[in-house]
Amino acid sequence: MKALELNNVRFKYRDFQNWALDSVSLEVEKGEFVTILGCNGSGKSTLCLLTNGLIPHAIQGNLQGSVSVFGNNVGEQPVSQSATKVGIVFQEPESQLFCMSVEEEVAFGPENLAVPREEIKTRVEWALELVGMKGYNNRSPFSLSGGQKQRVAIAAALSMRPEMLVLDEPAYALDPVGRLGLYSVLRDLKEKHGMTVILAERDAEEALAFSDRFVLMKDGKLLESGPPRQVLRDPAKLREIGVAPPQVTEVASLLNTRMGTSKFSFLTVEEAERAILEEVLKPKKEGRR
Amino acid sequence: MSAQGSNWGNSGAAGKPANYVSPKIVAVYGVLTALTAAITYASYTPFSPTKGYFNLGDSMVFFSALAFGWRAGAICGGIGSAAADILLGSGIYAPITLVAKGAEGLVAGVIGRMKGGKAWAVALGIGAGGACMITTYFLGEWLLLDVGLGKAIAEIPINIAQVVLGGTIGALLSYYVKKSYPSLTKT
Amino acid sequence: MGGFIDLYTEADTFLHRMDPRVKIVAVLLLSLLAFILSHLYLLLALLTFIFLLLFLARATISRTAFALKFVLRFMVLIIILWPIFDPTGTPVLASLGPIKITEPAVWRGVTSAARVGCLATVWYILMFTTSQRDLVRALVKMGVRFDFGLTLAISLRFLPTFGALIDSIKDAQRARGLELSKGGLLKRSKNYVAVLVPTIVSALRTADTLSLALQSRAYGARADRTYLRDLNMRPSDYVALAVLAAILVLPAFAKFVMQVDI
Repeated sequence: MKALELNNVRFKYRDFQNWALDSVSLEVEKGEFVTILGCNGSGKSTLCLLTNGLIPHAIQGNLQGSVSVFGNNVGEQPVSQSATKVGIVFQEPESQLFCMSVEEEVAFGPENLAVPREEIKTRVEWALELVGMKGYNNRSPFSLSGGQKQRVAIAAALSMRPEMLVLDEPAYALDPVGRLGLYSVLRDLKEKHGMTVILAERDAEEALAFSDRFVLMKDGKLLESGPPRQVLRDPAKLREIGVAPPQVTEVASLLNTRMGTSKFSFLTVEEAERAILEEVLKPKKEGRR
Repeated sequence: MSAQGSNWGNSGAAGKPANYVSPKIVAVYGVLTALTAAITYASYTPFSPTKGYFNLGDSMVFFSALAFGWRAGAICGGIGSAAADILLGSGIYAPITLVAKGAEGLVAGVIGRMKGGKAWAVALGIGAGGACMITTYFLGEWLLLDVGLGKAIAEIPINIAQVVLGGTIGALLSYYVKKSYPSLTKT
Repeated sequence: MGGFIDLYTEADTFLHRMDPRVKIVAVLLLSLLAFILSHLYLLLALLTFIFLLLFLARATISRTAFALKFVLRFMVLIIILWPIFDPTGTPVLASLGPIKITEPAVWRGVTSAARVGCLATVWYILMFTTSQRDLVRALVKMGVRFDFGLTLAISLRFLPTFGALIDSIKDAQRARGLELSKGGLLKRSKNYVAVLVPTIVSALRTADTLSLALQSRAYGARADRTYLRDLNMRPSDYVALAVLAAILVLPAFAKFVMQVDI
């Protein structure tokens, strides 16, 4: 059973002319961390809204094809039921937190699902600890920084014990410190908890280190899907869809062009350091002769 | 983590779904109520010599009623204005305000949206809604709070000014927002 | 301007610990009492009692002054205006043309002012000692529909957000030369439209995301919703309730049954 299965999906918002998603097929395995890259209007937000049935239940339009999450067709069950499988975090930190305290915010989902009180307490503590917000129980969401708000939003989704977490540009409105905190939570979710994650981003840099797969989108179409190393071999492709490639992969592609090879492909600064040192220290056989 | 394994309630279908109003209504009404209170609060201008005060809260009551209907006008106008009263230190007015502004929003919403919200309907709705508000304050102060006829009458001119200005601004806002952002005013 | 977005002050007094439902009932009962009492001295006693409670709630001087600022103006106005519009009774203290100031009318004005003082300040016993979340929780526990309570909670939650939003839009418009604190009422109001339109549009966008967030967190999934936080009446709460009931019932009995003039 796939975590997410999009089968030839097309979607057009009501009162709009263009297809926001056009013939998109995508499969996500359980435990996979998939980063969807694209700029404004590429369709990645639309894709996120499809995963828990907000499209078509809350947002009207013309939907074709099928979307299923862990084997259930989200079009055929209420959002509140899909919500138990898929947690979703939106771009705007302030407007997705609507309770008067962090604790109530995280408890809201399980309360709606009629989870017993003691169990809710356990879940709230568990989720707040996971996102590094332990002890903030009685703070008002209004008083938190953007990064803290997004981490509370993640905790509020996790407390429903979803099997998959979908994040739509969660770092968009954040400062560098806030981003750092957020990505370290995402890394923990993948590495310690094996959560299935779909992350929509317009920046490939931060998600690079822990993504299993990059999916490139443009104008509602899915252009490419594969391991980051493979997708990043040609940074021009990223620039073409309006996404800034990570600087370190730019260096690799520059080296490849200059030296007329294609052997350089590194994703982290450490990898780059090792590869370049190796290249420099290597005895130059042809030169000696 | 121990909690990871348990799966309470993750079969959402087990219980009967609740019979609540739609989430869109909860969100929009909550936001309009907060806006009414925040705008009343932010535009609050005390002035002499009558030592009364003036604010633009009525513009939000009329906006809610004209753009979202009488329910929004009554609920958001009434509760938002009453909350602003409590937060501004005039909590004594809160119960009367709840009724007065609630009635204002209700009547303005019912009449102001007749015939698809033609200009005459909007004007009539604002006039009738404003009249309800002014009457409620007058009777409330005079008969319920028993503050004496003089104090109750002193309040009337200020309230008329609030209706005229608030009504004009509210009508303009509703016209502009409905026209430029049609998707935002659908519930 | 002036005032507080959240009136609650954290402290650990018996009023803070009291069940919010009891405090809501207390405000209602004491308000009712202010209407029952018609004798000036009894109303002043009630006013003293309310201030005693505010003092016991450790309301700071600035907060107490805030609760009084508006109502003092109000009370002075009543005392001045009442006799002018009420020419009944004797003796006449002064007269000017058709206006007669009589002694009973002056006392009636003072009595009304005292009642208004009670009705205005009694609120703040509740507001200073109860957090907004407990207030909403109490209302839902007392039978208010959950979806309505949630709407109320959302409006309280977003009040400071929109307050900050209005401030930042005001600043932005001022930087573009918009005048908001000078000029006549009409001009000022007209200029305010330039603040209101972006505020409303931004707030309604917030509502859009908000409604998606509510659904994504299983809003309305089950009718038998549970609650993380419960309110439990303790013995002291029942005692407080009994005392309050006595404070109301005794004067009511005296006035309406025994026909004592109080």
